[in-house]
Amino acid sequence: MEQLGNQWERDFCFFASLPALLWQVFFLVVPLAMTVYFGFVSEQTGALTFENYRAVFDGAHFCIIARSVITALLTGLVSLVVAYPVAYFLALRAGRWKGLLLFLAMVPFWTNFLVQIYAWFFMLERKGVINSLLGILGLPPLVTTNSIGAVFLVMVYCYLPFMLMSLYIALERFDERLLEASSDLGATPWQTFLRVTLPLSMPGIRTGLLLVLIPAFGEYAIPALLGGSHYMFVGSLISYYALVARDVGMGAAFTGISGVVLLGVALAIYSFLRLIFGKTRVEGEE
Amino acid sequence: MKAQWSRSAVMMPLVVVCVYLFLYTPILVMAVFSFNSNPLGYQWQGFTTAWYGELFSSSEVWDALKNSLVVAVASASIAISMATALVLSLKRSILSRAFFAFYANLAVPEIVLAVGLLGLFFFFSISLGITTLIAVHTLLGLGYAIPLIYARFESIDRRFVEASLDLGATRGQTVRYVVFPLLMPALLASALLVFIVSFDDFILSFFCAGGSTQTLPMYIFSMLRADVAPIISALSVVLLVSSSAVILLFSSLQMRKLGGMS
Amino acid sequence: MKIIGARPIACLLALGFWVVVIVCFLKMPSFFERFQDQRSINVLAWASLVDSSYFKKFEQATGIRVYITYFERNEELFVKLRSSGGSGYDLVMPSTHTAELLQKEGLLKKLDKRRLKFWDKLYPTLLGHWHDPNNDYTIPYAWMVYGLAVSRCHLSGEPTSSWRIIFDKDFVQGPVAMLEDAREAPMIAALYLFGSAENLDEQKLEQIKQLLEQQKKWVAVYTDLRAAQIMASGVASIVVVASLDISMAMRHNKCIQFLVPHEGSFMDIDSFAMPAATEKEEYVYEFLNYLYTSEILAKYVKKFAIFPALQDVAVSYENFPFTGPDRELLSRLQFFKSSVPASRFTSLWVSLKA
Repeated sequence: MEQLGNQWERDFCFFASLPALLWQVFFLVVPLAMTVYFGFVSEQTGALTFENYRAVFDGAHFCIIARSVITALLTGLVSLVVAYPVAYFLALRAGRWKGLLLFLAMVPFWTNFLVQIYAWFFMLERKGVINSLLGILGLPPLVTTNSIGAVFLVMVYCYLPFMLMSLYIALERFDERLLEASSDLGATPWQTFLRVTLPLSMPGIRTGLLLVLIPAFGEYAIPALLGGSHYMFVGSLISYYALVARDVGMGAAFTGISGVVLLGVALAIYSFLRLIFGKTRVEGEE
Repeated sequence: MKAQWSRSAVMMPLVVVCVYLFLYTPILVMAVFSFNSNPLGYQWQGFTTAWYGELFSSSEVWDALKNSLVVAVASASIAISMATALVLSLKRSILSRAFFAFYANLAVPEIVLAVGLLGLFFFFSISLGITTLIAVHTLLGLGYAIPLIYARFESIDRRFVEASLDLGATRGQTVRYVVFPLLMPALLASALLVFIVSFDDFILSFFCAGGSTQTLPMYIFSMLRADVAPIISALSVVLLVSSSAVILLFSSLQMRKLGGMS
Repeated sequence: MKIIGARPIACLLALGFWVVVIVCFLKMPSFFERFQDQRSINVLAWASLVDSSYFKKFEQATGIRVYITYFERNEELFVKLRSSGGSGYDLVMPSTHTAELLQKEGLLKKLDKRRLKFWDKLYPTLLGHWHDPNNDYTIPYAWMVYGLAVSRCHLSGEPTSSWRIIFDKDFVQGPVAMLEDAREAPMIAALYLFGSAENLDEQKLEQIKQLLEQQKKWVAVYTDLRAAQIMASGVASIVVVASLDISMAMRHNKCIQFLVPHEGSFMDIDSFAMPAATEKEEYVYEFLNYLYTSEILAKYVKKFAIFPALQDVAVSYENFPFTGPDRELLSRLQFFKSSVPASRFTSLWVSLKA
């Protein structure tokens, strides 16, 4: 609080604020620093070296990173496209259905992640629901477990609620009168959407994309359970280096590089959105 | 223009319905199959509640549940206490810039955090178990709690504090009788949020819990990894129903608070 | 009285206080371990090999409590033991590879075989292998053979007992499931390509990688654990698997037959070993003497379908092409031991999965 009060109170404040700060330092900063440090330490000799980074800078590792980036971006995009109409409807058009629909949207959001993945086992297995239906129609099994398609589908499924919530929260604050004004001024619904709705919902889009992109990039459980292990993702490889191969140096170097790439991608998206839609600020908002 | 509007008036609800179907079909299928008497395949064989019986008598599930609850409650309590202490203690100027840093707890991909923490515990020979789990979940919890509590703290009208001090209360009394009650909604919301995040957390738990401690998500994962047992279907349905019940409870409380405004 | 250095000291004290609190919190469990039941032993074992429900008689007779913790991966065992310096457990169950690693790090205690009453009842063919030539540290518990589990009901004709059916596209009959292990998969490929998994140089490793990459086209999934489920759900009809991971399923699913390829194959032995830091040797020996009796091991065979290392235990080898760890079988098998450094296997695996 404000800097009034006596010395004792100020000391007590210092004392009380320490746990959180120490926790942060010890459990966040130190591990990250160690990760960075070990990336530069050789596994055999213990000396400082670039060899880990050199080994990581090869086609295989970047292929894996690229795969994760593309999957995360696609997941973000698809969930954005799918969630936007729903969020729009919920926020602006639902009327008396709003409460019920909102509740229904929350349930998958709060469902345990692994339960969500497991639910897809029934849908995607060779003899599961989807493929049985396709079989009845005479079609071959299109998406099965142990494939990248399954990974992508389930990622969209798991991250959709996050995008939906972000968009909904942003669109909820929307002032409908702006839409009316826009159409009064002669804009077509499509123009209204592009020029008014979309830019104003941009904070929600940004949040949503980041909420989806960052976890999706490092996703471990979904590829492990549904990917069939034909291809590795960033999450699988980091875990592999840490738990199976037990190569601390390579693992740290790879983690470092992936982190940098992720940061770069996130910044790129952020700047791209800023560029296209500009810095939209409405009076009295934010 | 009228025609265009009415087209969207049909399209949009259609899309919404499809999306909701997409969201719910897998869950409903799983719920139905949890009564399937066929243990192995994904084909219907007959109705049974045997898996639920197995679920409730499985000591592994109860252990995992116990661990999950203990860790969630402990992390929530510790995180909230530390967060409140921090928000109330730090100088305004520092806090408004420092609280940003706690977003990093959520911004860093969990797997990076998990592996780093594993390395940390290994390096300092800290044996993995419930305490490391609690420590790690508390870290996550701080990332949720501090921004929430800080936001609420910022929105408290300064004049309440000033008035209290003017009326002769000490700072301690002001904090106890004025600030704290005003902060309470945020504290409760954060506590619930941290509890849920900790209960549901998988990756951090997977890496930092060691072999002897298992939380519910870890249990589900290891079962899925090996040979899937229908006990997981039963467990999933139970979890689903309980989280829906909690949401229902929560939102009905909210409704009541807002005076029936929906 | 104001001392100039008072404030910084007070700050440090405050900091120190919280650091001590946090450290105590983290070290709490190891502290409590010391107060644990002294008359007990801690065992770390594979979930599919040991079960605590059969120890009641032992606990009643001797008063020694047996606490079992399970692990799923050998690396996990290694990490746990290494990070605690070998303390925390009195008995562990490593595979040959892990046992060798642990022994190199000095984490295992030498055995006093005189105190093990069953020693001469163990299969002599399972003793004296590469990881522990004199069995100074390890006691074999269960052995396993790596091979091909085929679902005859889903395949046409008799599948040949050869690695060809997973590697050669002219012989592959459908999707297969391959081992998910950076050392095992290449070594199997080496055995198929060169007839031997030893002396793998860069050139050979390159060929192995090519073969594995080619194989990807008909690999439905890479896994060690889900063999039974994979076969039952029709994902693959041929699975490369260790006998241990499929023997139980073979009891219910009579379609499954286990083949040991004529080119040769691999084996492994899960053994018991004592961590160096244990002080409860006496209890451990008592426990082992109790466990290694035909009566108790028969229960494990019944429950988990394991192949025990003790002779005179009733084991059924139905649908397996052998009847025990005899010399003839073992002459065709080798261990997954290689002079290739682990990091080379890792980089091969990563580039395969890229």
